[in-house]
Amino acid sequence: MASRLRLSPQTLQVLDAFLEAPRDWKYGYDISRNTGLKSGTLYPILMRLADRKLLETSWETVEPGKPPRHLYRLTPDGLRFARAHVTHGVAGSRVLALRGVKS
Amino acid sequence: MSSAARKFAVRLLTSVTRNSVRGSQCWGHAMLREIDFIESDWVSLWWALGGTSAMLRHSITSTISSWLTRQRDRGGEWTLKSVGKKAAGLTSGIAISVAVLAFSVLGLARLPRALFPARNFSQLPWLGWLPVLVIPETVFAIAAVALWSKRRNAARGILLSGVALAVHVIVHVTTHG
Repeated sequence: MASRLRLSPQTLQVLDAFLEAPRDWKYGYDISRNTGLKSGTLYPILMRLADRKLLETSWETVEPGKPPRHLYRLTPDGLRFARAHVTHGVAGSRVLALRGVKS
Repeated sequence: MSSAARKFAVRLLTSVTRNSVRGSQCWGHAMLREIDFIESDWVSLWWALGGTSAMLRHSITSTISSWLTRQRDRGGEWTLKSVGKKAAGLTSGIAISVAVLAFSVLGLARLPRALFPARNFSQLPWLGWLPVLVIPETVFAIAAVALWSKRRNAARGILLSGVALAVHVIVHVTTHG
């Protein structure tokens, strides 16, 4: 399933953002700010990742009366997939690379 | 003005979320909830516009894919391959119709003058309708009936062209007198 995912540079950017703190849940707007992707680009990527079970989603439980906020985190499969396709360069800088995957 | 932009953003995304397919709605709510955490009103408007486009694309994709799955489960009639086959049949029907119409307009329309050069046909205005409407529509009807049992998609293409031609003529007559 994951192999059919279209790995655009934007998808790699999102995967890279998740890899910065793989165990943490992230908000959509925070991912958007970190990656510079607009909602119209970011959410289709999140939807595709979730459809392929690479991303788990959750509703944040907040104080009563306030609507919950959606949270995202890579699944173990998603983590493996992200690590396989996003490579880290030297000196701490992250380098995005496609490894034989159709973009 | 700025708060109006935010209000519009919320209304837009709420409306799109409410009217989208069930599988997409949670994503709409997710984007909608994030608007509360966007500092700038104008950024929130852009967020909503992007979210609207994402929701529409997701809804369309899910609807098409679930429809194809339903049709496939019903008997395998509508797979992607068969859709392509049907589209090819329809296109061939339309191509046949265009060829018939071109032959009729460019060839048959000149036939009376070629056969009877001395005759003045301007006194017979109805004659002009024969090659552009009557003859093609008759050929379309006959061809569609003949092809219906064996090449239904081509017949549908021909019928579609016939309807398009008729609508075009009606619009032309009503607008140009």
